[in-house]
Amino acid sequence: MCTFVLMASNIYKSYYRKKVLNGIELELEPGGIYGIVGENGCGKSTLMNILTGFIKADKGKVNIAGNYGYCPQNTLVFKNLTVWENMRYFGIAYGMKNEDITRSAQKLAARFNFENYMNIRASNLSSGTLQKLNLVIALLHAPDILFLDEPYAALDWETYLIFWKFAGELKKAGKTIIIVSHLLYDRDKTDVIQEIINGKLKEVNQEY
Amino acid sequence: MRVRNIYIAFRYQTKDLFRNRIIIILLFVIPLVFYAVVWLTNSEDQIYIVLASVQDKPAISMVQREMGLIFIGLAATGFVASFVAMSLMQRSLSAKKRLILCGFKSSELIFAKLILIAGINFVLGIYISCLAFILMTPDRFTGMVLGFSLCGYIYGCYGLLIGSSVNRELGGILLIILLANIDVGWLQNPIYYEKAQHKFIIEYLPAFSPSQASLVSAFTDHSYGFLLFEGFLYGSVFLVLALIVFYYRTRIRKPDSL
Repeated sequence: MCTFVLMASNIYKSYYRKKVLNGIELELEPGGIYGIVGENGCGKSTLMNILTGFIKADKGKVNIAGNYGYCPQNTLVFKNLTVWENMRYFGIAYGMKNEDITRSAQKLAARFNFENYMNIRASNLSSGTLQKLNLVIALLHAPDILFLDEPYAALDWETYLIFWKFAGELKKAGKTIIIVSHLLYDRDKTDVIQEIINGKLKEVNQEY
Repeated sequence: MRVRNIYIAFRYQTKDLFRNRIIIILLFVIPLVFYAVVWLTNSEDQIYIVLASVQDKPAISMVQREMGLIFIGLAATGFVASFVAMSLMQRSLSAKKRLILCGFKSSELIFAKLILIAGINFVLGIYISCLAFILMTPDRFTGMVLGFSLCGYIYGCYGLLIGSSVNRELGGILLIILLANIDVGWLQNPIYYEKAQHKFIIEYLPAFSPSQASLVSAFTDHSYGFLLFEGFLYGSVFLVLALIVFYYRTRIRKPDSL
């Protein structure tokens, strides 16, 4: 019986002639927080986009158990819609019922301290609040696996702490979180850190 | 396709589009300005024109100002419909791809878009025709409305194609202006067409059928049904291409289940 929630094998991706991912192998167990680091342009976001299906790999296979949520690096929301309208739009995409969307949206907005902005258009939000919306959209349907690409860029310190507390609760509940960052300060909060070097993943020793 | 998803996509795409004030200005102010300029610069002189689609008949007598109003009405419809459609397609394309990743079907988003564009073109055709009707009395008002709506449909589909293919708004606007300006803004003017060489070029441009349909219905009693059918097919080719490009640009590769 398979004990992994994600298995990615033999992932290759090139942009024009530049090889970005060169045979990525990744297996993740449930209930863990996994970090993926690397220098700028090494392919972290490309890997995330391939794992979630946003883009297609040149070669390779990805298998996932359960449903997942994805918070991309760029804020991919509808700028002319309000915070609530964005949440409802994506909630319906997830197949949620109206009452579940309302409950989840209110709970997450309160948790991340932006419940006062529900009727504000996304284009009028600060970059930090916009990023909160971007993140919360990935959490609406309580997914089993979370893919987060630089989720706390632009977040204030308080929200950063809220985020890690929330991540800890998700881990205790058996959810799996994959965080991509080009800087990962909180190495003690992750179970495993892997670095992309020359297109391949290598586990990093978390002790300094 | 799920009805609930189509309804929500229609509602939110409408909000997303119309919360951009420039769209409201485009839809309602541009036709007024176009008509005002034509009204003030054209005379009440009688002119005699041989229309392209009734060339076997003698020249048709029409008032220069009235011909100008029909012509500019078509130009306004073509420009406005293509800009609005381009905006609808280009707007938030990456967010729409994320929506598809979250579970929306591409076909649901497309269907909602088509309902919205059809509604806009219908309202635009009626609005511009009513403005023309205030200033002139066509022989057959219904035909004129259908001609204007058809021009909106063809150029709306062209706008969808440009919007789905071109990333930058400025590039899209340029491609729309290039075609619409030459076609519906210039070559379809019956005064120009009468003396033109290599007329087949003009006849193959997108606005030929709707221009002829509007002019024929406004100034003659000849049939225009075939012109409407021809124009509909022409626009539909743009539409199919637009849908194919949109599908390819927003498709995702969801991972397989474990």
